[in-house]
Formats: sequence, C-alpha cells, structure tokens
Amino acid sequence: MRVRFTRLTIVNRLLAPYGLSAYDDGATPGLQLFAPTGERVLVPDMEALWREAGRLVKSAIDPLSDRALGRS
Amino acid sequence: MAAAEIARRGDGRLPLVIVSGFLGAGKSTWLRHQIHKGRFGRAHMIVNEAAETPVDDLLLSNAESLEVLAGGCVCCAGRQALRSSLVMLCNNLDRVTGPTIERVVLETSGLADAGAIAHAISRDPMLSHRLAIEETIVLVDATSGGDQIVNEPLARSQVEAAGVIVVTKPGAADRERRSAVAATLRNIAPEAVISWAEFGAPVEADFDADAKPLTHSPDAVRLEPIRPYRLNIRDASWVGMSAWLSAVLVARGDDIMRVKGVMRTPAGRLLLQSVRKHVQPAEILPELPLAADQSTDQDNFLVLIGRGIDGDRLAESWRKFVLSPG
Repeated sequence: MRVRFTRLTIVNRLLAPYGLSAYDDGATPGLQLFAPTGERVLVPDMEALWREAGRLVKSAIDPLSDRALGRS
Repeated sequence: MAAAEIARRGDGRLPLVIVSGFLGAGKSTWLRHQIHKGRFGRAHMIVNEAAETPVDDLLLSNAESLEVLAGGCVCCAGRQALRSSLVMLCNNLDRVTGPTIERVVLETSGLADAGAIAHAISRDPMLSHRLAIEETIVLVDATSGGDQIVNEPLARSQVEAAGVIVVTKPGAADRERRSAVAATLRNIAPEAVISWAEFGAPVEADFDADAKPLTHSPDAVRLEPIRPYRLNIRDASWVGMSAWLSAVLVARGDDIMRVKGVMRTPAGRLLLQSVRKHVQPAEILPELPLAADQSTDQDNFLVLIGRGIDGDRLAESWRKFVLSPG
C-alpha cells in the first residue's frame, strides 16, 4: 500500500503541470486519471497512464519539457 | 614447456580478440554462447560498459576469468583504465608458470569504436610488445543494423574495423532486409568474413547476393551523437523512479536507446532495464563483493543512453520529480 502511495505521489507531481491528477483507491488494479473537465479514465498501467494523459491534454506528458519543469 | 608458453603465439605475444557492435546488437548473447562452446579457449574476459554499470558480466560467468571495466567507454573516457588493466594482466602472466589463459577477449561497449581501441593498443609501446590483436569481431543486428551502419557514423566505424562480422537475429528480418544488410556490409567491409548467428549459434541465412547496399538517409544528417547520461539514485524509491522513467520513455522513447539501472534495496540489488520503450520488470541481481573504495553511488544509479537529451534538464527533472521528498 505504501508502495502504491509513493508511486501515486510521483505520478501526481508529473501530472500537476498539465492540470491532471490520478487516484489509486488501493482496491482495483491500475489508476484512475482525472481531467480538469471532470472526465475520468481508468488505466491499467503506467505506460497507458502517460498515453491517456497525453491524449486528454493534447500534449505529451514530458518530464523534461519546459512545462513540466515550470520554465514557461 | 609451461602451458603459459604453449598458449602464446610464436612471438610470445598474447592474442587479443575484440568483440564490438552497436547497442543492442547482441554481443553478450553471442559471447555467452561462444564461450560455452569453447571458441576462445581459456579466455580472460574484459567487459566494458559505457553505461558504467557492471551488468552484462552476469551473462558471461563461463569465462576462465572475468573483469569489468565500467568507468566509461574504453575507446575514449575509459581508455586509461583498459590500458592499466591489460598491463596488469600481462605482468601477472609473467609470474605464472602453470596453466594460464590462452587469450584475452574484450567485449567493448556498444558506443566504442573498435578501430580506435585496436589503434591505441598497437601504438602503445608496452602493450604492442605484449599483445597481438588476433581478430576484431563486430556484431550487426539484421533488423536494425543496416540503417545504423549508413546513418550512424559510429556503427559504420565499427564495421570498417571488423575482420569478422557476425549478423545476429537473421530470423527476425525478412529476406529483403537480410539481403540489404549483407550488401551494405560487403560494400563497407569487403575484406571481412561475414556469417550469421541466432542466439549466439551459427546459422545459414537466405539472402540475395546481388542486392543493392543501403544508402544514407538524408533525414539522419542532423542526428546528434548518442551519449550515456547518469543519474544517482540516492534515496529515490524504486516505484517513483519507475513511474518517472515510464513517462520519460513514453515522451522521448525514440531518442532513448537503452536504460539500465542498479539499485540497492533491502531485498538486494535490483536491475532495472528498458527494452526499446518499455520498462522491464525488475530482476534481482546476485550480490557482488564490493571493494572497500566503492561508494554506494557506484552501485546505485540509473543510466540512460540516448541522443538529443539535455543533460541539465534531465538532472533537474530527476531532482524535481523523483528525489524531492514527498
């Protein structure tokens, strides 16, 4: 459980600059991804999470980008 | 006559085999099989990894003796380490009277220029008296090797230095691709002996001997060199690191050829690797005896090998998202 919480913390740090957030209810496998519009998507794994998040904000979730690093 | 003397060439020099090839060409797989089959006799293996992480050596434990040079690529940053290692080896052999090694086999990193290594050894006044380069074997991936040779100057240099070329994974390429790779190799290294291998074992491959060689793609002109980037794991968590890495690979996977990491955890040493864009499940590595001068950072880091990555940006992202306390 602690491991899932740690993962979720890092995931949310990465999603925050894009206005997205993720939630792990600890029961179902995978994560729930929330868009600012209220849209909610259940994703099975990390790779799917980043792809789905990129689709929701129409821009790749790139940890090296200006947006992620707060440079812009 | 002592075995040490039998083993050496008529001129008393110890044979050195250089095994090279681009990232992912299958060097360790091929070597593991060949050593198992006894191709190199009683060989002293030297494994070099540009990524500074001694991981591939685990695959090669069948060699007579094994040494890992993980302090950078031996054709440039780690050249002095290779020289020191070879000098020490030659000096030790002088004191041995019983059975000893027959040759040295050097597996270079995927970023090394085998020609530059051979040149450096032949110009070294001491090593050139003690070692004779027996053969330079270069491995080329049948599926991606053709494009690499024409578009990556390093991959081309490796092939140019080859006396023996082994094309790996022919079964994963169609006949057209195999034919194109063979023609390209023949064009660049006309003197080299070319053979095919699957999982390290020699195989016959069907190809068109009259195919045209591949040509340089104009899109590849601006390609930046491939470099290793090292990140210290410090107290980062395994899951946090994996999460960040998966995001980086989804966004930048085309530019990142390889990721390897070794992490100390209470459960032991964990190996993290990516194959193309996918993070593999962690594997537990056997414990290595650590020398007294090895800090934990040497056994606790992540390396990305890729191109066009801003090292400062990478380090900043790593600090911001992975290392910062929760």
